[in-house]
Amino acid sequence: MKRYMHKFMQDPLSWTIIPIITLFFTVFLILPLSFTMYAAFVHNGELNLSAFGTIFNTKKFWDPFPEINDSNFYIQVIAPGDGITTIRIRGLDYGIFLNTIIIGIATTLVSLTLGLTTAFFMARLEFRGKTILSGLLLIPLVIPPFVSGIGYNALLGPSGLLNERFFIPVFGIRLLFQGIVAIVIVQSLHYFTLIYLNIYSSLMNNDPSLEEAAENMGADRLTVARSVTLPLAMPGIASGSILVLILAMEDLGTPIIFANSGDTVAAKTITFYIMQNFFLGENTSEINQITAILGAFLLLFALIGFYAIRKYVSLKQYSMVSKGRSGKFRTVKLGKIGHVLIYVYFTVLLLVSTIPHWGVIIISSTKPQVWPLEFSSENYNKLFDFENGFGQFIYNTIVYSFTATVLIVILATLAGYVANRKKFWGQTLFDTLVTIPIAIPGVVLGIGYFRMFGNSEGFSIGDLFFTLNPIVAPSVLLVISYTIRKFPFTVRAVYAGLQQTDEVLEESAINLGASKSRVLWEIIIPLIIMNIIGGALVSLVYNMSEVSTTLILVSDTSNGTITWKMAQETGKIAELAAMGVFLMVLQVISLLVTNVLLKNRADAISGI
Amino acid sequence: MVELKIEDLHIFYDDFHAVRGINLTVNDGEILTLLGPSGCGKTTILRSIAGFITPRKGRILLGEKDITHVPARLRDSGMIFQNYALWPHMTIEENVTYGLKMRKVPKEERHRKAMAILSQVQLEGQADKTPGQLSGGQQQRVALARALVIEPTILLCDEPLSNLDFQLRVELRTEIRHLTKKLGVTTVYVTHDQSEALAISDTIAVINAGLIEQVGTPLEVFNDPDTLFVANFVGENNQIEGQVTKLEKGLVEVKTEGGDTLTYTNLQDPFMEDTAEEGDRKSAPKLAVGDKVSIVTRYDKIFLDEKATENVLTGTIRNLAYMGTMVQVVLNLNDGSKFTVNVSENLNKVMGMGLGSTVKIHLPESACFLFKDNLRVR
Ligand SMILES: Nc1ncnc2c1ncn2[C@@H]1O[C@H](COP(=O)(O)OP(=O)(O)O)[C@@H](O)[C@H]1O
Ligand SMILES: [Mg+2]
Repeated sequence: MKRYMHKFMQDPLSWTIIPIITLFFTVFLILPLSFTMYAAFVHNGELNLSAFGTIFNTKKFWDPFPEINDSNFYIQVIAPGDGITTIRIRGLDYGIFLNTIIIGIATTLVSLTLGLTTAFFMARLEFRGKTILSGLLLIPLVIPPFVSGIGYNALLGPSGLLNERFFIPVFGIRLLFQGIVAIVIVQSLHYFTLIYLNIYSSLMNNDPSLEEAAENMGADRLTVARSVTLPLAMPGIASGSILVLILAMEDLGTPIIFANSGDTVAAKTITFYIMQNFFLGENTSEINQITAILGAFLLLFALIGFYAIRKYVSLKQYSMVSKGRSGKFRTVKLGKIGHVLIYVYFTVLLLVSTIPHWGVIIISSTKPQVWPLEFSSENYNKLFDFENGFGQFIYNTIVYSFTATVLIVILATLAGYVANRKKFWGQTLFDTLVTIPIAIPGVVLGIGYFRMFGNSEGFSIGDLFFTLNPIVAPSVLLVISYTIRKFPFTVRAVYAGLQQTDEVLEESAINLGASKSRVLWEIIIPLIIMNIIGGALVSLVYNMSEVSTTLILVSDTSNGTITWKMAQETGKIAELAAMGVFLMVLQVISLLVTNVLLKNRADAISGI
Repeated sequence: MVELKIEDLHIFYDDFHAVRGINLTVNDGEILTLLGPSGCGKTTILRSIAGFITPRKGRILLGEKDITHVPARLRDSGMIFQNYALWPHMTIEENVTYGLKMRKVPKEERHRKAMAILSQVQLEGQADKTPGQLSGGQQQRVALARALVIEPTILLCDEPLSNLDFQLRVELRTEIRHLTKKLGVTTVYVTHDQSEALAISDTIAVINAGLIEQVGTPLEVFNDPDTLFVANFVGENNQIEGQVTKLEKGLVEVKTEGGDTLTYTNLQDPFMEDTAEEGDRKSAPKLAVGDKVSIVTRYDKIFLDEKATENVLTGTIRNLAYMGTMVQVVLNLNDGSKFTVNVSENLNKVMGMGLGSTVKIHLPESACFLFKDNLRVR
């Protein structure tokens, strides 16, 4: 304590921030997660490990060698008499546990393939229209988790437009992707952009002369790529891939949409199972032990992944040996044929990856079941209707996300500054604390909150601070959860800004007699204000489309958000789609602004 | 064996004419230095030899072979980059053997060659380290080893020493010269540092704004500059502006802006017809009374001399700096312009002169270069 006071007197700003942030993250991140972990091992007050056995003995959860039959297959072709052949591509059901892992890995591999190829093309080929493409490539990123499933179904679902109006009339074929395959497709179309952005910025930040040196030594293009470019881009490749792996396994929005449209295999993922089964009854904050165990595993995967990124990237982050980079990259100038090929690639890529976008736009703005399509604004009119539409939910969403974002801006700026500029014991831990939420599965944090703050027969923190009890009043906890979960995006942006700002600027101000807080306010913040705004916008966008903790914490209409409402009413597809378009427009605007503000620092968007 | 020839080289960056018609020959085994200020086009020329830039016009010949359009990887040049460009994810040995691998040299031989060249650059024990573990000077040696181990037809060096401190620069430039001479490899060396260029080169090409100002041995370039630019870029000089006031057989008289009079009797007969061929660098401009001329003198070729009577300027001492073997005296001339003299004798006496005192500066005829516009009057 005496030592703390001593430090405090020397630097009151930092030594106020450090304890406050640490406390905040301990209470609202570490503790809730511990409650989930606790619930995984302890049942009715006693250590109980039999539930682990249950998971690995039950085919529903763990089925490494599934039987292939009429409802469990890779591809099924049905050709009844009416001339329409139905092709169903589904993938086997390996049980909830393995499904989640398989989905994660498959999505990562597909996203990696697309992302790596795209990044190489964008970074090392020269062709007309590249600038426009770099903007268009952000579009797949701009789709809230729910919405992509809806849009996908609208075009490729059983009665989707592509099937009804194209495949069936033209080929006599109904093409259906279901189960794991459907989820992997929808996720990959979204996540490949994250990998692309990470690898692209890796490729652009290499030293161009390293590739030239290889060429000078006699290496051809392919050898240069294999022996120099790729190894040097490994940090970006690894961090992008692991991030996608984590996000794909934690995704709740995509399974919900497929599950609610009747796809039983797609429903069998960890997150969906937790969401459906954690709640044991009105008067208890106990949670279903199986869900807690599944959550604990999900958390474990995420933590390993996060650790791997940190470890690997810091190992391979070659401290630029050479002094300064020289020149530009030698790009391959494409000829006529090259241009044609590259345009084909990008047209296909963009068409396919925007299927969900087209889907929601079409379904939300046309009359149902009418062909040819006829415009209708009915769904949009309903949007802002307070009584029956989304008015209340839009209002709630805006209040929650803006409040959370304001908190994030204040806390993340301070935390980023301290973590980046101050040397103190536990600094690495502090840094981990404020950046790790990006890897924490929302459902796991959600049930942790529920267990920690919900009602219980015994003692509950929620009883003391009744505003924190999610069953009574979820709003406060929701705002806190948003603040924690989307904190990393802003912190990362602040880091990026600080890295580009020479510490000498601060030192000279301190040398002239300014206090730390003055320096922060008058020197640092003006210098990195663009980064703060950029990061805040990303946080805001993600706040508005937060799914996991929202679905777990909110139980009544008056506190619902847009995403909550969407999950309740998966039947009203067209209205949801209109809502989705509304969210997308907000995201596009925010991301465009962010892109301008952060320039090439795209890694802030992916946040790890 | 090989001689590098550059003919009428023109290079553009979009619309910007960076290299504007250069002709050069680098003889077999010779070290030729491209010397010039930053931005004059040295790197551009070097990169076009390496094959990283395609010239819009002109040819590059290596021996008999026109390599202007040969891809970089097939040119068999070894290049040393300004920032070394060592691959941080490979060990020193992997860095050095990379080029041999591309040339399909068997593994044992690669290892043997790498060890041999590493010992030549005094890095025996470092083969298994990564570049990040080496000091700047060591990295520079690795870059040298990597470029030389493939026994390139031509060695290209782009300011290889500019990131090192002075001592290391001096040490390494000796080493580079020693090694390249020993291997007999034809070398093009780029630098903006005149003393480095003088020390390392067989031939120096002084470049300015994409054009060659002068090609010659270090001695020629230093002692017999063709242009005002070369005189000023190589060596430390005072430049005085003046006007021709008298022109007689065997005599040119110049009045400086400060009002002093300087006379020259060692110039070519100013009335003689210009017999030199056009484009010959020795061709001298003709003078006429009233012409504006620039006079350039080296700091260390002029004297403070109270007894001098001819070719004398007067100046007021503004600063005295003791530099060990000499004293640098900074003065103001009559017209207020700055003038510097390096004195290397009677240092105690010079240091004893008070600031503000007035002295006579003797400019021996042989210490002055006369220029009309940019061209030397001989
Ligand atoms: N990639 C480029 N694009 C446009 N202009 C360039 C490029 N590289 C160099 N230049 C310009 O060409 C001129 C010569 O550059 P460079 O050869 O690098 O000079 P040096 O090596 O002598 O310092 C400079 O004016 C520079 O600004
Ligand atoms: Mg250069």
